[in-house]
Amino acid sequence: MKSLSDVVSGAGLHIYAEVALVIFFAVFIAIVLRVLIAKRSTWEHEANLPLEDDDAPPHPSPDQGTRHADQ
Amino acid sequence: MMLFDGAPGTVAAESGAPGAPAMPRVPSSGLDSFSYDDDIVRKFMVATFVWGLVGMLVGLIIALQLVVPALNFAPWFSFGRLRPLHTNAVIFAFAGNAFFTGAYYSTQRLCKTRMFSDRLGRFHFWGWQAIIVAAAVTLPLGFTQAKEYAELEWPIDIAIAVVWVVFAVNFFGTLKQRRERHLYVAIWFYIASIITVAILHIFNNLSVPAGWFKSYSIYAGVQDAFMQWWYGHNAVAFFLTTPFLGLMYYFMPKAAERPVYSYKLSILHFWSLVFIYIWAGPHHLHYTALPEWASTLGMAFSVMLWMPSWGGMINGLLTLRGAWHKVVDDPVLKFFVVAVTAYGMATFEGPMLSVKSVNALAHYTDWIIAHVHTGTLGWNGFMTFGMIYWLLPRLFQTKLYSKKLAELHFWIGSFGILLYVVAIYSAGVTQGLMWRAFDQTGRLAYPDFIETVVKLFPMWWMRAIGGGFYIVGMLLFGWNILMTWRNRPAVYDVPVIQAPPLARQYAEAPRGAPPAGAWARFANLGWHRMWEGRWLLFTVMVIVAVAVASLFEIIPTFLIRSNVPTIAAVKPYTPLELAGRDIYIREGCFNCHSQMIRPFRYETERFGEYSKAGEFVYDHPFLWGSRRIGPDLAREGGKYPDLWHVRHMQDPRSITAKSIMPAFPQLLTNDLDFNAIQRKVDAMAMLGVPYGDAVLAGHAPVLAHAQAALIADTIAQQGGPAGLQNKEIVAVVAYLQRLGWDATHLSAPAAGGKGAP
Repeated sequence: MKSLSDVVSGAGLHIYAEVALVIFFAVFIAIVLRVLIAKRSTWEHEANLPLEDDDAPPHPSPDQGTRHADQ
Repeated sequence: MMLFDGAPGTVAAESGAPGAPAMPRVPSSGLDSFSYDDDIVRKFMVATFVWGLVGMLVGLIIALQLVVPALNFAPWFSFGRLRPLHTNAVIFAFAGNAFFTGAYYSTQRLCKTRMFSDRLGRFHFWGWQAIIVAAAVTLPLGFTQAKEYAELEWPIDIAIAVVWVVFAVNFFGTLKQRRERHLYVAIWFYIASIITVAILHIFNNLSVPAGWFKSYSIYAGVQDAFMQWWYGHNAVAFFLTTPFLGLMYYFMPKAAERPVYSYKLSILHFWSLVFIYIWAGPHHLHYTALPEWASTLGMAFSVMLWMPSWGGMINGLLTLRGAWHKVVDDPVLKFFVVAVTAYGMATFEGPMLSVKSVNALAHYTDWIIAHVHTGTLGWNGFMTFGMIYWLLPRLFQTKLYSKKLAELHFWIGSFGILLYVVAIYSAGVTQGLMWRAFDQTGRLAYPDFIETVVKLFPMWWMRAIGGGFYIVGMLLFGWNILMTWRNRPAVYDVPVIQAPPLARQYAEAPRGAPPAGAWARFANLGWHRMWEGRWLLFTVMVIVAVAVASLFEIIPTFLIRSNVPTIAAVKPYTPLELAGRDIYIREGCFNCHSQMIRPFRYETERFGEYSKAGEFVYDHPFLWGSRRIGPDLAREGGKYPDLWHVRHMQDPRSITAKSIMPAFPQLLTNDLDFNAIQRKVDAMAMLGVPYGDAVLAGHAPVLAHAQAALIADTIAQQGGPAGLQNKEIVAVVAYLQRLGWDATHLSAPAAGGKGAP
């Protein structure tokens, strides 16, 4: 680790780190801006996905008399 | 869909939102038939309740131990060992199982498929519970890595990694066999959580074992602190926030029976958290020996988090638009509304606390504890309760036993949270202000640390009462689960679902003219919709965003020399001091004592010269601490005679009448394991600590015996008990007398005991 940190410390690499930060941030901002100005209808199908399946709780019907607790 | 007492017959008509194609119910050619695995969901749900109750009870015990120190009645039952048990239990056992409950339920339905493998699901369940049991046994025994929320020792860490990978395989396998092209936003949050938690867990826990239940972090001092809070902060982000946001984006629309307010906002919410959260970790280390640039970067990104977090909160609350009247009747929605509001409060407070000047007051105080509990009791707890009350009738296929009890749970729980946080916010601000108060003559207004502790007693009592209320709510919750379960049918109905498989080839339905040119392709958004349809690509994008942020902060701290200036006078701990340090770790002293003096006048007046990065280069792991229930120990060396420490460990109240520290009389009777010292020294030497001759076989115990004899003599000369040279206490004294010594003295101390300063 010692020699490696000597090399890296002396190499003056900070410009790469700064460029990476700028690129990273630019990608993020691009995604944000594009999504912000999108039409609401773009994701209508996706937005309704949780509501597609029918999973209402069952309601006890008259013939469904047998319960665990009674046995 | 009616929640608790809907009339039969209304169900089919209400399912399916306008505009969305209703799912075909009649068999026809080309449809797959399958059913959902709800058994695994039931298992995780019960585990959520059981571990939640255990974790919260341990929380109540440690809250009471602060006001009634006599409750620390056994070594395995003392605050320092139980506090990590509380945090691990509520985070990984309660919130973890709650996340798995909701993820297994919603992923199957959102992907229109059964889980990839029932067997992997069972392995995940039992493996996770076994890990929790292992934690509940090893933490009270004092096996700990001393890193917050990563205390578990290396064999358990490996088990966690294995079980997590099994979960990931099962989850991604499910995505691969899905019958719905688009991945709903909840799934994105699950993906980000699974991936990031794996990365965090592996890199923070890298260590060199020195025995079956003892290891040393491969990082030291500043770097270890940096890794730990990169982990610690993002464990909050990707274990307590993003998984629960996934649950919110699924169960909130379910309970409100309408789609999320703005899907667009949920996409923004997601990418903002993934891009920004990772950077924020250093805000846990403001004004410490961490390099300034890292601290400032952490602050800037934390402040940026505020907006997307509030976007998410608003998105959750506005999902109830037009349905607010339902909140009156429905305990599920009540829990969700308070949960999302608590998310909003905690995520406003987080960025505020990350501002350096605010942090200067709040750090090391109960303010942080209050902040955390707003998040956990309010957001994680209430999301979990709401979700499970919604699930109970569906999982047990009967009506909820008592809606009234659920309502009562809601009100008692809310009242408990209020008592808890009001008390502990007051405690935090009170103590923070007392620490920094000066009188007219420029001296500390409260020079005795204990004054700032005793002041908090009424608030600590109120906190315990608030926590008690929350637990009463938990008991009502358990009763409701039990009674609903008793009313379950003899055999669970397993509906057969039918859906068409995905086409091999997929082309996005054209939306207007095909894009021409780079800008048009970008503006067309087809690229984002393509990510949404390809889970692997999407996952890679998340990994890239998280990894770039991590590497950018971590690599410079490790590889740029100027970030950790070395101090020539700082030498490694002697073998005996190293053994003492391990006892300090075993007893969990770091839970109440920091070892990091910040560069403020009110800190240096009270504790001595502020801490420097170069002082910690041999600290595997770092022990800076995060909360000062007792005073800082960074400059403890030489402050008191050896005998003072012996008496203080034996009975803290014989030295400081109102001290709340647990007593450690066993240190005077336990024999020190001198034979284990060689292994410790060897492991440290492997990590690059220059131990010289001490690594020669059998040499370290010889050195330790020699130093122990000197300290035991000093203690006897000072009028203390004789014959302590083989006891653990001499190692602890050796360690405490070394703390902070090197950097403030030109030469290392002679290997021996210290008299009065």
